[in-house]
This record gives sequence, structure tokens and C-alpha cells, in this order.
Amino acid sequence: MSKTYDILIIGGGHNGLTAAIVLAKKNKRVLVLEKRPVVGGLAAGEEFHPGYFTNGLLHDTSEVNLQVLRKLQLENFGLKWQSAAPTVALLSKQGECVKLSHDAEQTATEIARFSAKDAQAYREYISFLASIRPFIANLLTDFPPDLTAFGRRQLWTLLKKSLALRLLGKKKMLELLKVTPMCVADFLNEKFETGFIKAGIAAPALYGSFTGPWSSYTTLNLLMHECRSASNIVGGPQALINALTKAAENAGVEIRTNNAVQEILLDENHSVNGVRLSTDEVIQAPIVAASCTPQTTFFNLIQPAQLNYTLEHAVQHYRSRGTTAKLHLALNKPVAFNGVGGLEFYRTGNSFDEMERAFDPVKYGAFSEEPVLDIHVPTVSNTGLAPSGHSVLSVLIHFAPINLKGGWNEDSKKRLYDITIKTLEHYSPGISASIAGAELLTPADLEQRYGLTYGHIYHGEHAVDQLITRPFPACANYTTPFKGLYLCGSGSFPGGGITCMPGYLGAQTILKHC
Amino acid sequence: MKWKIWAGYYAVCSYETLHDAEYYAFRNSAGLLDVSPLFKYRVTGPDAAAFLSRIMVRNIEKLAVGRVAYCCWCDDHGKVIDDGTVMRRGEQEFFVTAADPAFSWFSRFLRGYRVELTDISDQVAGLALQGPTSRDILKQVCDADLDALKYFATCKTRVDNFEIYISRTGYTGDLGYELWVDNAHALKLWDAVMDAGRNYDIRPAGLDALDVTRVEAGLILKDVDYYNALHALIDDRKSSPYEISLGWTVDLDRGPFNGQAALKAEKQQGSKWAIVGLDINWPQLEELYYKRGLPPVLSLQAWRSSIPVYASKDKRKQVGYATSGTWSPILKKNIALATVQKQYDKIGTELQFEVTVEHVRHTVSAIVSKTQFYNPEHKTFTPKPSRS
Repeated sequence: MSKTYDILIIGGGHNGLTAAIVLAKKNKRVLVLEKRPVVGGLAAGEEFHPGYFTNGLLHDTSEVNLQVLRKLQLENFGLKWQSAAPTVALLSKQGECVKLSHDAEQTATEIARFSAKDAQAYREYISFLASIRPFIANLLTDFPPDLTAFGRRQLWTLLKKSLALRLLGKKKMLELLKVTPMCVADFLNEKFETGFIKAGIAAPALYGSFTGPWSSYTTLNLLMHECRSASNIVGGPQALINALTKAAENAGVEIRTNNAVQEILLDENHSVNGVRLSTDEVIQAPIVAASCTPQTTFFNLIQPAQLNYTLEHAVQHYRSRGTTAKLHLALNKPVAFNGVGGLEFYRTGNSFDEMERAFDPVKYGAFSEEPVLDIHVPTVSNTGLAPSGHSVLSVLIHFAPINLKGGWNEDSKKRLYDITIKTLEHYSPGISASIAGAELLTPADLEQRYGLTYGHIYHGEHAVDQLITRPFPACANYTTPFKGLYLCGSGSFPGGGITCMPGYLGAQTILKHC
Repeated sequence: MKWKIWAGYYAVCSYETLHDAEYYAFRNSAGLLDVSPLFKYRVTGPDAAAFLSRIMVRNIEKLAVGRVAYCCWCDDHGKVIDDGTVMRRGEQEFFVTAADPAFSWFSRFLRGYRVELTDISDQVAGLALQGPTSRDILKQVCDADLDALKYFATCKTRVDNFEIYISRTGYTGDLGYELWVDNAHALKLWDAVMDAGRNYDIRPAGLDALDVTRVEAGLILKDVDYYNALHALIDDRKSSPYEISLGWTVDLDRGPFNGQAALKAEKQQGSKWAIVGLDINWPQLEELYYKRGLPPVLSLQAWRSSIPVYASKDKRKQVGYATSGTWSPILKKNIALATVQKQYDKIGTELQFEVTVEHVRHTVSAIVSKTQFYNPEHKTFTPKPSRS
């Protein structure tokens, strides 16, 4: 009780931990308060069936920012990574498969089996990405440009960013300006002809965004994914959490699990005083950094009357309709899709029309009859997650809405489970017979277990209006209208997924102010 | 008979060609005015007081059961949206009146409060019985202890076989009551009060008479003396409570409420504007007319247009504008309510008020005075004040 802290961090997910380390390294006394019994949030592995583990609810570590890992010196805490995204297999319904690897030429050769035109288009696509990557990656790893301030520094930053855009060259710049607002289907249709390849490339553009391939601005989501997808953490998200936890402890961060924050305490001048836990324990600190969702921060942890209407309105209209469900399967044998085994990542989709049809129902409170699956087989590289010779399947199911008509119950869960297994069975015949255990998490379950508002895996939809001023203008740049209250979770720029960026930039903002 | 539209209802301006008899009823006997077009809300539940305290600039949690608070409510920037009365009918039951529809605004703040907010505008009728004989009339129709009912108090009583709420409130600055009744009984209530008032010179009164009395009483009117901040097209049209003479209703040092931060800052830094009363010089006005060979002409009706107010005769420096005014028959004065720059709001300050005589603009002197031009003792007098 007598201990005092400079900064309290709400939520011990990967962003909360990242922020904690950055701050502790600057000699701040930091306490991380995690509601769950384990740290890691969506990056934490779980035993979902006796003897079978996932290594993270989210399984893609390709967007983790390597510069941040190096700055935090996580290699000293046992973290290993590759500086290239892992290979992903795109599956067609006709039993075909194309492996997208970081080796563009090898991938082009793979694609050439289906279309020589697509192979050439892929080379051009990769070359376009390479040319815009420095610009986009810089945008996403730096503070969001502040378009409102007219200080010398802000203008200089704007100028630099505009210059970087112009330095792409006239052709590339105009191309980028043209394609960004496009729907990903139009964008890729201009280049490719093979349906399942296009769909597979496009898939990440739709994750957590409440869009289908025909929705505008999905190309922006795709380019953002492609430009930062350049890493692969050995051991997956849980390995990242292990290293972050060690680094945090080493930096002097105190971490308390099973400590749910009940209220952020504010004084009469709307300045942070500390927090009150669900046990009624009060912990004082002048700064609180919230890595939970913006809605949790403002609606669950702050007294309603403390919010002015403008903020209330902004929080209320921040879009975070969960559309993703999660399936964990314990399998008693190795697994292959369309005959291809030994890979960690697979994507289904088959065609834009089928993806769009998978998306359509969520608008009306129903889930896809044939969902788009983002499949991860963590046991390929991490055999310890299951008994020897067995495997674990981690499947993100797109799309299943939080507001399912009739509600989520055993019945509707069973239907979603059956549909998902049926879809998996199409690509991996006989898979159902090898299921030793299963766990299906609907958006409602995700909300319940992880405190994700409306079960949104990214703490809010990825959309162009929720990007630069994420989550909303009043709280862009990690600050809030409350003195001493900061945001450092996926609800802040540059958004959700495992990147470490909101935590890192949030912490930098706090350091600027104290 | 003259009519106008008030909040979607046809409302009477005057029952006869001129409203003067109705005005004198308000001031000398009693006038009965239909105020049903007001917007009315019921707020109930364990958090009702906390909920209203968050919305209103006044601390409603401190309002005792049976009391009424006149107050206004602000946006986030401390600019006034509307003003009205909040009546505490029970520990967990409130009745709120508003000039503009307020349900949408109030309902924005429901999250987190155990309250039920109901728009009862169309279910409840309102009758304003105003004037020196109003207490005696009301005594004839109900057995509420009116001699003990204080200014800005409210109580429930029965008339014949139905219930009404009485609040000792009004918009005339006189002794008066407002009666709130379910629509079903509204006509019966009207008849009962009119019958009882026959011996007390009661008259049905319209809005023209009310307008004269409310200017005399210094009571401001939304969309005339200030604008609803939510409807203002430009920021300059928005006003804080301090700027429209409602600073006294603001209770700053308490839990958070809408506009608190901005109002605290304004309280510290000072306001830009103030609403003042203007006592317009009559001889000077007369003189201007005489010079053109005309008798002085004044409308009997209260006016509500923007009239420039200057610091000096040469009209070089406009320091404000009058928003409504009237010839006050009871005070024999030409009076107005004006918004002036804060440094000109001291009582006794001489300003220049623009008048147009025969198409030519002049100014006459106007002395800054209290907004409450007419404030009779009987307005607040309680015959049996010992009982609460």
C-alpha cells in the first residue's frame, strides 16, 4: 500500500507491456494491472483442451514492429524472430493451393502454374509494394500526423510526410493516391485473373474491418497489412509475451494479474488521481495509461457525469462491431489443407463474390453460411502445444456478428461450429474424425473473456475514418480530455493486431508530457 | 381574437382586439393562461436527482421535495440551450418544463443512471393562474394549504374528482400559480377555475399580455433574448448563463455537470456580455416626436426586435442591443431588456438607445437598471410562512 507509482497501466496485453517497458526504462515507477489471471491479452496462449494449447488468440505476428523489439532489446530476453512474413497458403475450393512466401520470385513461379499473367502481375504488385513500403511503414510507425496544430514541428512533420509521398515519384505517387480509396476487389481485379489467388491476397484487408471485398477503402487496409507484414516471431504471440514480461520485470515494472480496475479516479479538475480496483483498493498515481478498449476506458471506468457530451457522443459512435469468431481445434494427427501440410498459415476465400457473400449476413445480424477462414497450425513449429504427433488448429472465422439475431447461445454456437467444420472438411477431408477437443469463441465470448467491447478483436474497426485520429479526434494522439489519462491500446493509432505500436507510441507520448 | 402558433399549437395572443384588459387582470386581479404548449418531462428513478444535476447548471440533488428550481441547461461549452423549471414531486420523481423539445438532449445522458425519462408534453396540460387574486381563486377549487405554499414550492391536490399539481411559479412576476393536470381533466380544470374566479375579476389572458408582464418582471425569453446554443448558426449567438442574467442559477462547486469546466473558466476570467434592464428616457423621446410635429407613438404591445444600444450620442460605439421591450403601464416607463458588453452593465450607467422617428434614426438616453423592473411584495409573500 505504501508503494507509490508514477504510472498505472490498465491491461497487460502486448501493448500494455510494451508501454510499461518503455516507461520503466525511463525510470518511471510502473504498475501494470491485468484483470485476467494471465498477462498477454489477445496474444496470450491458452490451454483450451487438456494437453492442447494455442499460442495466442490472434496468431499473426507478421505485423510486429521489429524496430520496437530491438529498442526493447527483447533478444536479450529470449525472443527470436525472422525479418520476413511467414509463408501463407491460399486455398481454392477446387483443391488447389498457392504458397505466398517472402521470396517473390518463388511465389511468382508458384502462381505461374495457374496463370502466367498473374505471375507477372504478382511481380509488379510486389515491386509496387516495395516502392511504397518505406512511405507507408513510416506513416504507421511514427506518430499520426497532427493536421490541426500549426507549430513549426507539426508543419515540418507534415512537410516531411508530403515530401516522402512526392519522392515516391510521380507515377507511384499518383498510383498510390488512386488505389487507396478503392475497394480491394477492383484493385486486384485490375491486376490478377485467378479468383482464389485474388481472394487470398485480399483477405487481410477485411479482417476486423466490417467490410467485404467490394467495400471502398479496403485497398488501404490491404496496403497497410502488406507494408508492415515483415516479421515472424518464433514461438508465436505467446513467445512475444514471455519476452515482454521478462523485459518488463527486468526494467522494474510491477505486474499484478487478477487485479481488475473498477474506476479511474478523477479529481474535480478532471485530472487523474489513480484507480480503484474491484476489491476497493485505491492505488494513486498521476498518470494512467489504458490499453483496454476506448469504450471500456470511458464508459466502464469513468463515472458517466465526468464525460462531456462531445466525448460521450464520440465514444458511442466509435464503430467496433465484432465480426470475428475463433475456433480452436485439438486434432489427434497432423493436418493438411488441399493436400498441403507442414505449413503454419492458410487462407480460404476462393473468390471475391464468395467473400462478399460471407460478409453480407453480418450486416443483418447473421453469420456466414460459408465463412472465410484464417487458419493457423501452431504445432507445425511448436510441437509442444499438443501431444506428440497431434496438432492444434487456430482458426479466425470471418464473419460472425456480435449482435446475432436471436442472440448467441448453445444452439447458435453449435450451428456456427458445424458450418465452420463443414468448411474445414472441404479443404481437409476427414478432419472432423480427428477432432479430440474444440473450443468456439463467438464475439460475445471474446467480449466476456477479454473485455473486448462488442467482441472486436482490434478494439474498434479498421476504417479510414478511424485510423489517423483513432479512436476519435478528441482522443487522437493517445491523449484524452482528462489530464493524466492516456490511451495505449489497439484503439489508438495505428490500430489492432499484434504490432506493439500503440503501446510504444502511447508511452512516447506520456514521456513527452512528463 | 388573435392567435399564433406556439410549439405546434394555436395559442391565443389576446381574447379581444387589445390585450390591455388582460394585462390589467394579471396585475390587478387574475388572468388565466393556457401554457400547455410548454414541453414537459417526467424523470423518475433512484438516480433521478443525480441525472438532472448532471444536466442542469443547478444542483438538483439539493432541491427539497416539494420545491421548484428555475434553471437552465448548457452544452459542453457552457452555452445555454434552454431554461425551464424543475419540480421535485418526490424523492425520486421530478417534473421538468422546457421551451424547446428537450427529450433528445436529456436522453443523451441516460447511460449509467437508473432513471426513466418520459416525454409527457402531450399528456399534461398547463394553466397559469397569475395575479394578486389568484390565491383566493385557487382556494375555491381545491383544499391545498395555499397560505403556506411558498414562492417556488409545489404540491399535489384535488379538484373535484381529479388530481392536479400546483406550483407557485409563473412568467408574470406577480403572485401566481401554474396548474398541471392530465389532459383528460384539463377542460374541467379550466371551467372550475373560471367559475371560482368570477367574483375575483378573473379573465382569460393571452400571450400579448404575458409578454408585457414578463418584460416588466425581467424574465428572459429563448429565441428573443438569447438563442438555444444547439440551434445557433454561429458561435456569437450562443450565451453562457452568466451572460443572460442566469449566473445565479449556476452551482459550480459540486460534481460534474454539462459545461462545468467552461463555466468555471468564464467565472474566473469574466464574461463578455450581460443582460440588463434599460429605463428609456421619456422626455427625450417625446421631444424627438414633437420636433417633427407628432405626438409620441408607442405600440401597446411588447416588441421583440434587435435595437442598437450605444455608449454615446454620436452612435460611434455600439455596445449592445436591446432584444425586447415594452411600455410598462403599471410603472409608466418605457423599458427594455438589452444585452450589453460587460463593462456597461453597472446599474445607473447611461447608454444611448436608438429610436426611429419618421424614418430618421436618433438616440435617447437609457439608464441601466435591474432587469426586474416590477417586483411586488405579494409575488413572494406567504401568509403562513411558519409551515414549510
